Amino acid sequence: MKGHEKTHKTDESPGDLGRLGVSRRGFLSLAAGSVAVQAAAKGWKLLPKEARADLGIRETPEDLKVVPTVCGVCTNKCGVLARVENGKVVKLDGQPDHPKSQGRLCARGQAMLEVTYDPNRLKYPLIRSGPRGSGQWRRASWEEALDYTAENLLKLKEKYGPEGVMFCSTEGFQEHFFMDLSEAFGSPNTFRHPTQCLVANNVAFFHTYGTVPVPDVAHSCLIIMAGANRAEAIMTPDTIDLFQNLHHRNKFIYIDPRYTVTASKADIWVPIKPGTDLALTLGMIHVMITEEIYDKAFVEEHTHGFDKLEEHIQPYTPEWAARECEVPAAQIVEIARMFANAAPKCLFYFGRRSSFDRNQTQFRRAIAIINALAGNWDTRGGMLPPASARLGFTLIPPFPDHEAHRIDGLPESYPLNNTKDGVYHAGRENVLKGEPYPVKGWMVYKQNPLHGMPDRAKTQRMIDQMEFIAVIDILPTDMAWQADVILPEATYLEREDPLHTEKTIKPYVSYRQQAIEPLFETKPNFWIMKELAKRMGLGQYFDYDIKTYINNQMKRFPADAKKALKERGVWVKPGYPRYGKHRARGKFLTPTKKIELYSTRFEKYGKSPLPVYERLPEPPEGKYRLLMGRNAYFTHAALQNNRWLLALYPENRVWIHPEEAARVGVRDGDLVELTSPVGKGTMKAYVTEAIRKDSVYMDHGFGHTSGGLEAAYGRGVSDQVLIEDVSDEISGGVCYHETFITVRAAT
Amino acid sequence: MKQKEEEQRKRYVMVVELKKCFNCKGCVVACRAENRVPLPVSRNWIDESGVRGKYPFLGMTFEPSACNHCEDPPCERVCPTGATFRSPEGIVLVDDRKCVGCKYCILACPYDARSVNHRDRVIEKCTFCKHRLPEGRTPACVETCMGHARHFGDILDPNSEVSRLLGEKDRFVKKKEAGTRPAFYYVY
Amino acid sequence: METHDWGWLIVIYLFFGGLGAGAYFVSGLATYLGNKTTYRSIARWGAYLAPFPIIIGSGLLIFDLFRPWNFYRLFLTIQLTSPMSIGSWILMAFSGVSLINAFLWVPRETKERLSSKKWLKRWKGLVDWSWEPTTQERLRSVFAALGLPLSVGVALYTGILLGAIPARPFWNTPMLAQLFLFSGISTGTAAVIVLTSFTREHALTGDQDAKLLYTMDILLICLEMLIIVPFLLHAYLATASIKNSLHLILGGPYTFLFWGVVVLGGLLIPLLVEIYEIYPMVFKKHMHHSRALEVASGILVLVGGLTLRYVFVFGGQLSAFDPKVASLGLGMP
Repeated sequence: MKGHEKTHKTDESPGDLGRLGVSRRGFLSLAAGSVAVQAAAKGWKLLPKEARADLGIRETPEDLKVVPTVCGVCTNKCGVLARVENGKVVKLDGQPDHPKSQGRLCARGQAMLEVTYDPNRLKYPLIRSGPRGSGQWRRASWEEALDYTAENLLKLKEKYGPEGVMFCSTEGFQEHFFMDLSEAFGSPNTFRHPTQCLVANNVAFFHTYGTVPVPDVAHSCLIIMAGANRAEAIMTPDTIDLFQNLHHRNKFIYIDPRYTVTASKADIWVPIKPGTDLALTLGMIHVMITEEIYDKAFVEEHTHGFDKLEEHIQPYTPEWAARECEVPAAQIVEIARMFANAAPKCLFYFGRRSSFDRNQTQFRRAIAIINALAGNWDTRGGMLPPASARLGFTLIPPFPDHEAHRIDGLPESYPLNNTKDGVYHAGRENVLKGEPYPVKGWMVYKQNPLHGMPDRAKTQRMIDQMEFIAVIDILPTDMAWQADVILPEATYLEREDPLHTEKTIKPYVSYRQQAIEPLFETKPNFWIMKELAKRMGLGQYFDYDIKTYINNQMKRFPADAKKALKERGVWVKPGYPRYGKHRARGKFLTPTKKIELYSTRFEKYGKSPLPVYERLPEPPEGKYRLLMGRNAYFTHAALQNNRWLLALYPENRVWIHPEEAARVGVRDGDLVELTSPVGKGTMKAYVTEAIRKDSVYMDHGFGHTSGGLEAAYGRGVSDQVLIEDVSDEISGGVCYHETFITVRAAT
Repeated sequence: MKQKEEEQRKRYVMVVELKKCFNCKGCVVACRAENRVPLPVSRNWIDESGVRGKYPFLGMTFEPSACNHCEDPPCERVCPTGATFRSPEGIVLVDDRKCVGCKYCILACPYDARSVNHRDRVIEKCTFCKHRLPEGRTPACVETCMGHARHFGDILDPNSEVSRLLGEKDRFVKKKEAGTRPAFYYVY
Repeated sequence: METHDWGWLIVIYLFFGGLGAGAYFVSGLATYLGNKTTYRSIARWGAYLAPFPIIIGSGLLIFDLFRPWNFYRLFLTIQLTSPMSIGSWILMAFSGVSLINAFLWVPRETKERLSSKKWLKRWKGLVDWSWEPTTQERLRSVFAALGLPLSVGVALYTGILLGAIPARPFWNTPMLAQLFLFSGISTGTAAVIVLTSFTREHALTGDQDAKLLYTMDILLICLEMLIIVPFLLHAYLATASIKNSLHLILGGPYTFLFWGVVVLGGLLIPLLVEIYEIYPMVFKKHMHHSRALEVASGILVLVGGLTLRYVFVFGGQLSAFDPKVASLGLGMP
């Protein structure tokens, strides 16, 4: 191969005596000879250079393939170059051309290698042969499993109508085939993850700007993040752009009750009281308005409702905010001034997850408002209108109309939301009640409701009520363990997936190509959907193949785009990032066509059109507020079976302040029992100064109960066991931080 | 031969910008994948300071670590067969054909950078991903570093990034007491 | 480090190294100081004992290697900066020389039985020559002379092996080699004391042999204790890492083993017993002759010697340069 000289398996060290021609009369003479030579050579490095042989290079196999693909470990979907030797993926490297991680991969992305070869991976279809959740399975052929699934779905359709089956899925390149099946089936009851995650952000920004903007972190000079722990909740390229530019391009202010890794990197860490971020932001808005340091021209031209905002903000002084937040008023003022000073190259970064407490949607509205006051719309270093590429489509017959109304009452119950995502907890509530109609079937794709939904006991009750559950996944998750039939999907390395585009500052298209053949009997979701559809008389909706689908997507692309997609797995639309074009046009997709500081739609649907702050209750004596979040080594509840990652972080622990730990009588590493109104769990304590005295914290995603996950089983505790079913009434997003728990030393 | 020597004369070093490392441990997993390192050993790791101070006046640092490829390696000094040696480019390597597995080098390393790979029965340590260098690729840990904290290059090349960083900033090494003149630098 | 790379095999190997070296040393000294009638028993039994702990120890060492099939490579080179390399060569030399030396001390009756053996027939010429009385005496002297420096080399090397590692501060004091030297020779002496307390010859020459052995052992024990004092002092006044490593035996996990078993049980008590045994000879009277006490004090010394090596091998691997996390040492934010 070019550039490689020798191919040794090992490296040669100096001093190979054979070359020096020492005779072999016996050990002693050899030793004597070598003593002399080596003594001279070793001590004074006189050994002939020839002896220092050219250093070995690992053999490059003849059939090395580098396949461009896209990582499937989390929502970021960074570009990956998969190195394949002898039909096996041996390494995943980043794809440098890809705008997301720009050639880098985090620990999880690198560890995806292990998932494909995880010994606990689902290999073939399984049908339950014992009571639900008992872990008794029998292997079935695809024929049987698909027939069984289709049969049961049709039975349910007949008995309860198509609305009697819920279709729940999480985003991925093949998700919309699942959504298509649900549409074809005729069920309105689709549930996705936004109400456990980002719905408050979406609702707040959509109804302020008419869209959810994209932050230009790479070029911003002053970034404020509230709770977006970008060092441990990695979002590309934001994480990379933020930390790469620290202290030489930007100033970074981080607001969080907990001292996270991100806090350790920030210029200023504001240790705020949980649930009071809205108060702080209102205080900042107050400063900006009363000191008149907002962008007057921009506000005048592009926003609606400033006067009402000005009036509304009067009581929300920095002093008031300081009392609520336990942050000095002077600091609130200072931060507001820093923000305004850096405008428009400033960002109040709104993050992704916004599922914290009852104020969350209004808090996100306040963030939207404060950004508008800084006039950072469509400017370099500010908030940009999202751009994406347009993909061609494949024609399929129109879906039937839904006869029934959604079980969660959308859109009426949550008119500000995206209907198809649903409001999970509302759906669960009604399913449990059986009103207004029974829902008895549950199709799950790439989702783990037992780990995502608060009050796990409730989710389990919902499972117990089901007549039929089918789960499509790659590992035997806790949810799969509760199913009647498990259909094994191939991992991302084993599939060719449709093109994908994402709304970023640089619109791009990703193309995931197949690196290896599917292992065992796993199949891509598309195939599973197609086969199921055929058996249910819905085959006409899937009357195409993946290649055709992809070609249709690419149809209107220029030739160089097609080439880039094939060879590099990514095509970036030229000419971006673009600044100012939208701003010049000045038309926003809101009822007033302007940025609605005062939200007319909120008003229309009976929600407060300007952010109103509600103080959260304090934890009662002897109890702590439970906070939860993520670390960089696991994607929520998905990777705890990965042995490479477990070696970095074997289990979650509950963070507790040293004084509180002393009160409870525990030392670092001791077992503690946590109890909430809806559940309990025992785990180890991590005694640390990084958490407040009135709160405890645990990482999300542990506490797996599936016997199929041999490495993950029994490690740590699931936060969802403890967290109560609380949500905010505007967006229906879960409030994960409103539960109080007791902590006791476990005997 | 002389010219080849000249060409070969390099001193590879690693420079880490501490401010930028946020403990994602991508480098640890990338190394494991690239070099097929079996659990439970690891060629690299992050030394964590832990949370220092009292709430809310706190601090925390992360120091990615591995073999320091010392200029005066104690492991090379104590190896009874000469299996451990330092290449002309400054990379400390092990010739498996000569290694008897006495583990003396493991004890001699002040950085605890070496361990026994029981699956393959070899010494497991960082090799600066030597097999990638002729292809013009940096070590796997450097390539994957999300924070752009890791930098790798030839310190004898005045135009290299590492030379620039080490020239501009104050730097330190770990366990300087050991006196081994390591090639793993940290800048702030 | 939490897992130990060097464990019991190495501890026993170091112990056997010291033991065998000490036995040969005592044997050599006895040969040199004695003649046809004095100190014969010591010389003989020391000679017999010497090679086997070394050979067994080396065997254990090969077991400890994780690439044992390559062990011959140790003898294709000599790395002057590696105590292990030099030690391997010294051990080999010692094994050969001590085996021959043991052979030289085989008594007449056994010789006659052996000379009929087939495997000796090939070497009959050499064997007959070496067993010829005058030659034998001369050879014995020569090998005694050879043995003294070799055994000092072996015993010293077991200490240098550890002492040459700055990365393990607990080992890296200048006193370690001497400590292991004196301890090694002491354990060799103790082993010979135990052995000879059971042999016939001892009963005949009794007091004289005992006087030599006990005097040697008492001297060595005193030397060891005198080494321990500067060891502690120097370590305490040395760099932070070395000073901190002392904690292992001053309050840390090896405190009781070191002070209770090594110092008290392995040095002080045997010292007192041996002084008690031998002090009447100061007043020109017979020594106290208790086989039980002899064996007991000998075993105590041996246990002390083994424990000393255990404490150092295991404890030392827990010591390291401070601090591990550089930013903690520099007071960085």
